[in-house]
Amino acid sequence: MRSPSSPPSDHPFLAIQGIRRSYGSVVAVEAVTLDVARGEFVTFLGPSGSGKSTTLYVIAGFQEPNSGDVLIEGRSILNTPSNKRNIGMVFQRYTLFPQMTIAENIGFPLKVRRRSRADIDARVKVMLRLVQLEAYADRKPAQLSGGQQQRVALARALAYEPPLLLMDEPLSALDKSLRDELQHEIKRVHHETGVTILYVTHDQEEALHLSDRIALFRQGRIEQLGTGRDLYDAPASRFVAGFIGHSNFMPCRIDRERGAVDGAILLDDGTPVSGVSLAAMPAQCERGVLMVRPDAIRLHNPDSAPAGAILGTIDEASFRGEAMQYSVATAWGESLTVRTPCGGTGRARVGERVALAWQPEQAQIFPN
Amino acid sequence: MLLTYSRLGGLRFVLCGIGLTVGLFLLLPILVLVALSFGDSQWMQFPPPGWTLRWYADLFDDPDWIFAFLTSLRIAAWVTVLSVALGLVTSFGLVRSRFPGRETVRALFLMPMILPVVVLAVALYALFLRLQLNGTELGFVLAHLLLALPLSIISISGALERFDPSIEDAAVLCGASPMEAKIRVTLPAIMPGIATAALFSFLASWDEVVVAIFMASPDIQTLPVRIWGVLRQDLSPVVAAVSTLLVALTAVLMLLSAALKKKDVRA
Repeated sequence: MRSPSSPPSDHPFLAIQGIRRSYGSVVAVEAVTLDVARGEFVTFLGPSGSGKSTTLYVIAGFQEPNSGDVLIEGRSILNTPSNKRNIGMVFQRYTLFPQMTIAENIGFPLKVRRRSRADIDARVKVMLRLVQLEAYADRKPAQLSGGQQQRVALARALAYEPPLLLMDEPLSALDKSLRDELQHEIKRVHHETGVTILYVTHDQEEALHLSDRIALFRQGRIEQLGTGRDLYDAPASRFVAGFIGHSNFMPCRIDRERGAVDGAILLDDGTPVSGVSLAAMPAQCERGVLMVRPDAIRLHNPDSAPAGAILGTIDEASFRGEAMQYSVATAWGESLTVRTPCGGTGRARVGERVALAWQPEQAQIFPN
Repeated sequence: MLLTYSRLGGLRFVLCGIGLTVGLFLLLPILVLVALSFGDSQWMQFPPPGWTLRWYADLFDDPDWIFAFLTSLRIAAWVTVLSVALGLVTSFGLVRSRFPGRETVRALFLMPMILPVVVLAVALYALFLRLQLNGTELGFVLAHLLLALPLSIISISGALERFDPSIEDAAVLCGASPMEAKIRVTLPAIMPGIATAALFSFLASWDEVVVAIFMASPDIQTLPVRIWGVLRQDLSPVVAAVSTLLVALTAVLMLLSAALKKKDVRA
């Protein structure tokens, strides 16, 4: 039920509108615009220096944007100081208060909100249970492992039930197995609390595993926004295709006189590629790269290969558990990576001549 | 390791011998002094022919010694409080803000440590003469503050540099105002640095003699100044008794700070 004063429901929960932030001549964030729905888990993914953390810090209030606005439920928060924004945050570095116990750390945001002793105790218990650290209430942060400290930081950031939680590469200081465990934990906490989460990472697996939607950052802009599936299956640019998952890129030439679809693309060794849409290519562009995922490529016997297949020689084969990964040397000198599920068709051997083929709709072409 | 202690063989004994000699060399003067303060020879014979507590009794009977002791204590206490307070704000300024010339400003703050004390003393004397601060307690406090502040800044800014400002940011996002975050989170975390600053500031004033001699007047003397004066006029074992008490007090303070550090490491 809404009270009369609530904003109309057509406002997104969080709206980031044209944020720009520069330090002198260095532009950290060029222009970032994004709407986030209540309860959504959105990840800012990108290489370091792409502006994802700066955007997060603008929302937290530690950085002021040069222009643009950030609205929560239709109201700008830029003039509200950080401590009044009621936003939770988990940092990349361990930020527990060293001289306080774990329970005091989690209770701190409630203490500064002048809640009653009994209230605080009850809430701290709930939060400790949420992150499964009940036994550690009276320990000091230095007595906890890195993973445990980040779980406490998560509990502390959620203790006051903020509607929005910011996470700035919270797992980057942890080792792989611990990262997997905490990802699971974060997902569970998100599910249990329904909090809206903005999560910054440079780890694509983490982004794919956790997020409802991913905003892929590049040079201060969002290059593509969508679900992990969208970004994987329909990358908007060569950059996205290279960042999410593994990709093969083949330099190619476009000969528009040979038709809009069939035969218009020629690989550098002259092999024509048919069936790939040129819609994404600017009209005057004559050179491009053809992208095919390693698992979209099928290996064939050169004698019984389908028309338009590429010939190559296997120069490396490695067992990857659920799949075999091959590196195939092509006529134009570059190697292509191919992944085939284990079992089923027989394995190819190193040195063997093979033909590579894929479904036309699984290839994409980008401007070079 | 090449120089592992257990592998040194016969050299071990040489090493122990050297260590022991250096230790004795450092401690011997103090031990002689302590012995003299309990010896019953008026002329400070060593080794003492007999033992007595007379010099301590004389010391506590003499109002001038007590007065000098209290003066020293009062000045050192003021210096400690002011030096920590100023050291704290200065350190926040030097560590947390970025402004052109920051390193120069930092160097200027540490200058009194590098200048020969006697140069500083003469300069202060000349300045305070005009301000009519010579021979006043305020003059003492200001002069000693100048010597104590660099120590305070070094120790507090060191602690502040080791403290991750993200922790303070976390406190602010938790809802604490920037000031509240500093008081409830940052200050407790850098407390060992503050305690060290207080200790060194106290000692910088407590056993300072050069500047104090310039500042002193017949009406107002610190303990070291009085020791100096008495030594020059009549050599009395009371001086040994005073010195022993000073050594004892300093030792207690040092032990206290060591205990604090240990506790900090464990926490």
